Amino acid sequence: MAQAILARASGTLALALPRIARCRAISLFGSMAASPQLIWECVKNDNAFLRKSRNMPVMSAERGNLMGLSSSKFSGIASGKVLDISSRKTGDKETIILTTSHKQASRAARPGSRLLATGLKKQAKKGVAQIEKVVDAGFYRQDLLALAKAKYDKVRASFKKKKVVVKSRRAKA
Amino acid sequence: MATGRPVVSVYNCENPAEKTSTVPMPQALLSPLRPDLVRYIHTNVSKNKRQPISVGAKVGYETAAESWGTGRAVARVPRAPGGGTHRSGQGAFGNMCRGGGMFSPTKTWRRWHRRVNVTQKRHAVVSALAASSLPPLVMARGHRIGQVAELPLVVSDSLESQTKTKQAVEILKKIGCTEELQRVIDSKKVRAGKGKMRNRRYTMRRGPLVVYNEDNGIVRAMRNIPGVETACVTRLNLLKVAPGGTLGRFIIWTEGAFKKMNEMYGTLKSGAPMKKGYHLLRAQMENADIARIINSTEVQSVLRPKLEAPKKFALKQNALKNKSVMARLNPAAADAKAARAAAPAAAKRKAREAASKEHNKKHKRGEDTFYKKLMRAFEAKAADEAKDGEDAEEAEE
Repeated sequence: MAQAILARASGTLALALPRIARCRAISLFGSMAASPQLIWECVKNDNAFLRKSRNMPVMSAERGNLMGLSSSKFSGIASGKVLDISSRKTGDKETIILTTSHKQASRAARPGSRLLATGLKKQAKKGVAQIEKVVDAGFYRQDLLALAKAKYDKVRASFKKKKVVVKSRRAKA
Repeated sequence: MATGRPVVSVYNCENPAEKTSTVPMPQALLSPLRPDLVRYIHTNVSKNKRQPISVGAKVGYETAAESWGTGRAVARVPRAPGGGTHRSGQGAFGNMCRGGGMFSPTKTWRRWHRRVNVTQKRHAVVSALAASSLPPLVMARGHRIGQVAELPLVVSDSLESQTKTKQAVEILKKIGCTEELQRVIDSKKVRAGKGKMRNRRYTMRRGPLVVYNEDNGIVRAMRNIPGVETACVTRLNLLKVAPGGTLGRFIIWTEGAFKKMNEMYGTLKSGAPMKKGYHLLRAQMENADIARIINSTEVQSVLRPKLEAPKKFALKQNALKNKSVMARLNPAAADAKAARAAAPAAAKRKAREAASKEHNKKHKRGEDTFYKKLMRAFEAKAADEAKDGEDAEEAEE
């Protein structure tokens, strides 16, 4: 009886220890080999989104890249946390979209729902407050906060229609 | 790592919106990413389908040319014999001569093929398969997987028994490959270069690779779909799994094929049942997420506190001699100094003026001022002169 209890106890112990050790090794992506740094190293020189031109920094066209630059800091594919502000046009309506990556790790394996797009208010004070709530209060890519706000202002400015003043050549005065 | 392996859903072939079951991810698809290995193996293995070419063995030497030697006022190159034709006397044989052979003629016995160690080839395949289950890498390769439900994409076994291409295309579109297939079709262009006249007229992109376990019609059904390739699990080709040596081909698995991976490759501990003597690739670093390692409690708790840079002091400047330093220390100093400087002088001046006024009040000179004395003296002198003049005039009279 005592032996059986001992055996059971040691058995459970034996199970518990390795499990704890294994839990430590699993990264967010559910794979041992897929840390963001590793993916960036695989992808940085050679990927479908690279856009190069003379006398310009190397740029990148993927969704989720705040600055459009090809850099591990801004990358929309090789990053654990993605942050981007962009505009989307549906018919006549233009909206400002805040793109973030999902908090759930399992979403990383689903290409369609890897990124989460939420709309931002077009009213400057409210929109900036929304950004701050996600980034600052949510401790999510605080290093990009200033740039995100700046981009938000630019996107807003782009919605304004510029009046094109055509100077008639005949009216010379 | 059986406890930690993620689980993959299997999608129903007929109705891809629903998931029929789940399969644990085979250990092979959790292998470390080795782009260097894949590139090396790919460059070597891709040489193995080459067919030997060379210039003709006798080309340039099918003449009876002989050098004329010296003394004939021509270069010593071998020349074609005989007469009666332009060819006679022309240079022959050398690479420098028209109609001569080439320098170092290419031979058919050039080493065209490369052998690669079997274990390395297997490691490369396994690494490429692991890369195909990571959305960032598949997207980076250029596949349009925005509509795909999950990676790795596993479909139920009924896909293997499709016989009609039309239905196969429909299934692929329902799975989410519409954009991908369209990308391939749109990319068909005439090849640049001589290949176009050597039976390789068109180029187009590569689409998804469909990996099956048993061929019950799927190969013939998918044969004619542009861009789509099929492969049996047991015979996976690196040239298909990592085209161009790049990681991240878009792979569609059937359920049977996915499960077969376990049987073929086993786990890290067990070795590969169907590949004799082969053990799966191990990572150099099990946890490659350096940011997490640095920020973990285990590391942070044993770090010493951050060193502040030593404070740099500028050369000390004497406040008593340096006005700006004094002003920084005591902003009121300047005004105080000015007041001090001004106060006695002003007071002295005032006192002087008051004393002077007092004195003048006390000692009023009245008629005895310097000016008046002076004028009186002049008047006296003028009166004297006038008197002398009168006397002189009186004397004349």
